[in-house]
Amino acid sequence: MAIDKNIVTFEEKLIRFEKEIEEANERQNTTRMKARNFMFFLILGADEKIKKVLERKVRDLLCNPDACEFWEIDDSSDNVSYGEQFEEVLSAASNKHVDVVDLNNIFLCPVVFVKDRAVKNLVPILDSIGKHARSLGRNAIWQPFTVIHRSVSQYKNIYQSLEQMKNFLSNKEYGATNRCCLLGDQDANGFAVPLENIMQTIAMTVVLQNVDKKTADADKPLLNSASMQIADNLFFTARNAAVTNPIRSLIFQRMCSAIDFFSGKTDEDSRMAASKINYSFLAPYLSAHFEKLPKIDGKITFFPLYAVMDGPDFKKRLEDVISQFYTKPLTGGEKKGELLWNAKSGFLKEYFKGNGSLSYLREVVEGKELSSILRQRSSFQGFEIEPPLPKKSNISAFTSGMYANARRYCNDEVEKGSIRALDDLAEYIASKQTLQAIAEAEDMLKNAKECMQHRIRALRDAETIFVLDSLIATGDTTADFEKEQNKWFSDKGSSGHYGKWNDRFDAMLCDILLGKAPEDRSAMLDVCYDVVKGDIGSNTDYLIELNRECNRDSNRANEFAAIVEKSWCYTLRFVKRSEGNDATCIIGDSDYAFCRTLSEKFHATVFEVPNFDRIDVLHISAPFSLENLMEWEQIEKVGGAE
Amino acid sequence: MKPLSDFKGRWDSTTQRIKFTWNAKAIEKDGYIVIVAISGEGDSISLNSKTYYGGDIRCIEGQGDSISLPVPAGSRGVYKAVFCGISALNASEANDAAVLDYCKSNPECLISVMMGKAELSWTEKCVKQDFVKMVEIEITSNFEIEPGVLGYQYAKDGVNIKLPFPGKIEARKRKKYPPILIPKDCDVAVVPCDPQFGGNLVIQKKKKSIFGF
Repeated sequence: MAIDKNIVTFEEKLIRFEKEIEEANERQNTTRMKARNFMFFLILGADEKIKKVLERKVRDLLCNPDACEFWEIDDSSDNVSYGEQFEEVLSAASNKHVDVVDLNNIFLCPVVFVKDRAVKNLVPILDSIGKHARSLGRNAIWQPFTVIHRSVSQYKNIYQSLEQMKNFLSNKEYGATNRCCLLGDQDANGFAVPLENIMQTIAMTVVLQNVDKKTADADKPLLNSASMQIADNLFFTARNAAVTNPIRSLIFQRMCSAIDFFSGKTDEDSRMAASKINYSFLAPYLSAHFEKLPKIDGKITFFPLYAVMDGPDFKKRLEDVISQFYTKPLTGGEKKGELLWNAKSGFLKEYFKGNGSLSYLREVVEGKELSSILRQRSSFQGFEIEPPLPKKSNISAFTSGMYANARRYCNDEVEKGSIRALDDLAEYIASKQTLQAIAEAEDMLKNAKECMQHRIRALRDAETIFVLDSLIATGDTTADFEKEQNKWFSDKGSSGHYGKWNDRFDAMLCDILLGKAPEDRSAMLDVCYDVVKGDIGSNTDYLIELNRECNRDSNRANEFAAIVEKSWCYTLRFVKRSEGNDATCIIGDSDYAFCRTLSEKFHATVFEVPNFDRIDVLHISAPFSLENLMEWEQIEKVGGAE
Repeated sequence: MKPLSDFKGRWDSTTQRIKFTWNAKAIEKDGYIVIVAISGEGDSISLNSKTYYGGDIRCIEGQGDSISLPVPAGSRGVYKAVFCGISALNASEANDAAVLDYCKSNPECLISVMMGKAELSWTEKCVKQDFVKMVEIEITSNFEIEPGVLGYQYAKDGVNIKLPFPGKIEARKRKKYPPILIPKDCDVAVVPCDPQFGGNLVIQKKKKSIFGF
């Protein structure tokens, strides 16, 4: 249960980091596009979270971000009259003098999500808005979207929702109605598509129809697939790709490298950590062990034994004194637990300072060698015993019999004390609890890395990953991204660059092994994030580097273009498909060679944005009918049977 | 019934009385208290009616948190007497049988009060040898002193040794104890094992010529 909780907190923390990263890397205002007309996004079947992602993606493209409005429509209500609200929003936009060409032409974009249930009342809802727009004399351009959850359990819901959409598209009363952009939540290869990727596709599909092109073919229709020409093929699909510095992937991968580095996995000298330890932490442990023994002139004394008078119960009284003055203080008494804990803490701190790994710590602990290591490395004596009693006849009673036995016993106990204290410490460090804590810490780090690797894989759809550092270092596109980042991190780390963060990480690891860490273990991710976040290059640097590589070798440019092509893999599967009628749109700066390469290779329409520090691509399919979808026959069978 | 909180007793040799004190606030709703001497040990204890107080808490003068009862020490010398102190709702709840049962199962309601007074004198004989000193102590007391009441001590460098004399101190008998060894530059003192016994003991050291080096 604790591990599950960790994963949840890790994931929450990663979401927070992603948000921070996105905010720090927002498009600059000068590289955004201006929307000509006001846009309404009418969101059905989704929650506030989805609405916010779409809102962020759309506004991020615009230099006039107030040229759009987002509604979360409750389709379950029988009250389907949205006319008045529609008028209120238009009125507010009018009063604010929203920076658009006019408010007479309006984009109306229903975005229907089909997951767990079918959309209800779609046609009446859109009808109420469309009629009101017409009453107000506005010219509506409809661009609908449907996002389906590709699962057999949803076939009925998909069928019912798409039937409603078809009814809406077939009605010519609502003004200019474009084809519906149909999207799925898995790509054609069956992999989940991140929500933000779907939202970016929706945002670009609408916004690119609503901005000015600054190219020679400005008169060419932007989205042939969207505009309705053939009545049968009511749908199209699209997918976006981004050529940009993969900041989030890079940060997460380097955070994984940081975990490996800080936990000592990448250090070949890790196995030497136990022998490199500065064992000075043993001195306070041992001296505390002897601290409570009776001392005179700095030497451990046995005079308390000789203060016991012979007589009735002599043996018992002598034993009481031995226990009070020697046995209890030597075992640490009530403070023993605290002394052991402090020494264990010292050992772990020194071990991790020597870049010892968790896995080798297990070996050290399980290997039963710790006791001999501690004995070898402890040069501490810490005590001096007073000399034996003088051999004189008048005190001979004290040098023989029970007194002598007691002295010998106590003397032995003191001399063995340090060894026993070290053995006790070794046993304490090597306890079951420690092994369990090591396993928990390893699991925790593994979970943290898995969470990040999961996000990295998911981000491959949102961030087309060109491994910039491997380009610089080896010129080899096949170089392993993970290996490159590990090398990058350990190269910097080996020069002591990460000292203070390493210390913070070690302290947290020690706390976990000592059982005093707070329940929220995600603070370790904060350390890894803090250490890498400042070292990621800018998007511009990334594009310049990419440009240089493309100019140097045209084959490399083609390789990169193939990666982009791969990443716009559609979210639907078709019975048959001709790629010839697909269209590609690019937002970017043609001064970059790679922008030109993409444009030429895919005959793309370029939305020229000077000094744009990334390249956004939208790939649009030719129009199709639902019958051309791979699963449609089954969907129809399930849905049509009702 | 419940034990009297902070229940203490101090015997006064002049008045031959014990002043018992307790925390009156902790009595709460109880209206009756019982203080009684206990004889015997363990399960064989019994209530000693020679020293008994049972009464309404409102009858106690002042703050209702102390009472002085006459308890002559007798001729036993210095010894510990045991008393029980409890509070109850009323007299019928605190009948003798109930109090005795309560004492057997709740020893926390029992306290010891040191009774009697003894005057004693002691002498020492010392022999120094290298870094050690052998000390022999001789004690004379006018009354008997229970084991564990009288002890001897010395201190050096934070080492503080205080041990009781073995066995009891008999009345009017000169008792010479087996020798002990202490550091050469230390001095032994005969002292009450517990400072609270101080009022019961008058200790005087008598000088005797030191012999041997």
